Amino acid sequence: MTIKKILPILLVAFAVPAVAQVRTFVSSSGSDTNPCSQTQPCRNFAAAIAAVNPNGEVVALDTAGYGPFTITSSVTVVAPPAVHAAIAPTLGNAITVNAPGAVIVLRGLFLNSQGATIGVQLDSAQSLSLESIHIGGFDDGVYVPATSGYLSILDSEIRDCGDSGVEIAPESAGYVRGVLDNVRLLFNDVGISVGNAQVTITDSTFNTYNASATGIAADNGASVNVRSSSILNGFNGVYADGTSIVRLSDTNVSYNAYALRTVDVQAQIISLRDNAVVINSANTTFSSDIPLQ
Amino acid sequence: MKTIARTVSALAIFLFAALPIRGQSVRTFVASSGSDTNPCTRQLPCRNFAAAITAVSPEGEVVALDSAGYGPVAINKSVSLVAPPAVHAAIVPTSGSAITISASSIFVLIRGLTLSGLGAAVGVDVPATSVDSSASIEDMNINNFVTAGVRWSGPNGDAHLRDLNLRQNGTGAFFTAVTVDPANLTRATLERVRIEEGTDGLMVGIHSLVHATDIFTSHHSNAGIYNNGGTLIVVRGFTETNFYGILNQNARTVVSATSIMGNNTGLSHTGLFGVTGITSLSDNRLTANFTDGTFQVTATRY
Repeated sequence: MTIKKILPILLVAFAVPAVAQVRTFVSSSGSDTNPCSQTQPCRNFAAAIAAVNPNGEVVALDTAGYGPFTITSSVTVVAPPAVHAAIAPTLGNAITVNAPGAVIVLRGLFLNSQGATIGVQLDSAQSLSLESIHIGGFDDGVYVPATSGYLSILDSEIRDCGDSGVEIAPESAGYVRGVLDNVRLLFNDVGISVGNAQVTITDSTFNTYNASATGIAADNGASVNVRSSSILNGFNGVYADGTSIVRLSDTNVSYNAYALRTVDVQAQIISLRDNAVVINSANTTFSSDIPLQ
Repeated sequence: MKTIARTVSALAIFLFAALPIRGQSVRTFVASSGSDTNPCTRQLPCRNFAAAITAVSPEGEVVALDSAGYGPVAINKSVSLVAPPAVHAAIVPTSGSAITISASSIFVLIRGLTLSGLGAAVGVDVPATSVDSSASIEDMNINNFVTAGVRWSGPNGDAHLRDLNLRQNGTGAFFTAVTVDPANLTRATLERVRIEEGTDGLMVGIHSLVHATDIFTSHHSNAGIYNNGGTLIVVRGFTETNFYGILNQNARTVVSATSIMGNNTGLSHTGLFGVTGITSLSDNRLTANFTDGTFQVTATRY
């Protein structure tokens, strides 16, 4: 074999993937054959995630679409406020988290479905935090079949989802903990649907605007605590079935057909005696109440 | 002959490939250095919102890349129109409206823009002909429009206003549904909206259901909050230093955790609407007005 024939083979053999780094970057002018450094960024999140160390950071440098991705180890993916970093998938999931034992933070992303069914799917992680995220137009905005772990959604909005804005439905007998703080669930068919999980919701807005929709749906095994929130314009404001318990404090439930609806004997919607349940068509009575102390 | 045919084919392919394809991009862009003859892509942005709206596919995104004025626009498809916080993306019309939601059954997100009227009538206008449309209007400054900062007249509409400053407009935000079908209500939710220095702050008209939390409305020559025939709930509001704090005419208003202070008249209710007038949830601050006025109904939280 001549050197002419060997050299291309050698060059291909040595065109190895980028060396893993503590911080990788994507940019509108990047390329996925780059090492994903700040001066040679990649073009898509998937490439930058493959190139980053566990517990590292992936940063979007400027405004663009950066493609769907799957996470399998601890990472923080960030778009700073100045950057509109979007994912507009046509099918599947925008983001899939299947990272047993990992800690994942996603911040500042704009997920806009162009046919895809799920915004963020949490299959497995120690914790997943969604911060300042916009999710719109999926069947489920956030879907959690994981059987353990901690989900945090902060300062975000999830809108226009055909099934649920957030669905926490551990597939088998599992138990997930979740927190929603300053989250707006707008125009979804169900704002949040909670199964076997303990979820705390503060300073959030459920606004369904749909004659058949539900603000908060609690299924068997759910324990949902709601504080300082608004639940508006639904067919059901709060819907509790099975053995679920929903507790409301300093919360306004208004403009719903059925404000507080329990459909099983064991289901409970409990008041902390400081709510405003006003201007609903029916079901404005709590199961019981607990005094503030 | 074959060579000529091949060359012509290659040339044709090259030319067609180079032509911008309008209306097929999920994301289009505008920039101060853009041109409306561009395809509105990230690398070849357009100059005005109107061109980028034309070029984007339904349910896509239009993004402003840098600070500039981007021209009035009529939105006739579902779309997200976004300027990130580092970008001052302005619309400064001298007549008409800055943004018109001009179609029915569309879903629009508008975020991060600055709208300033130089004689123009309305900031964001949803006319009565736009039926069953929804819009989120977020993180914006809307100032100096002669008629209204936000005016929603379309029946069966759904509006969500969040983190807005509305200053020196005729009316800050106005919701009504002029329709003969009382089932076609327009619903609006306001969160953290500040309205200052106009004729009326928040105005609610017939066939509308409005819910406002953390609303601040001050320094209006008529009313901070004016409910004329609609249904309104105010939670954690401030209506101060207006002529009327809350002016309620043939309407139902429920007020909780709200401060009505420093107005000429705190509460004014006239006419009959159901039996409720202005309802208090017994947790408001009604004081320090020249005339406080009274709530018609008192209820409590539970």
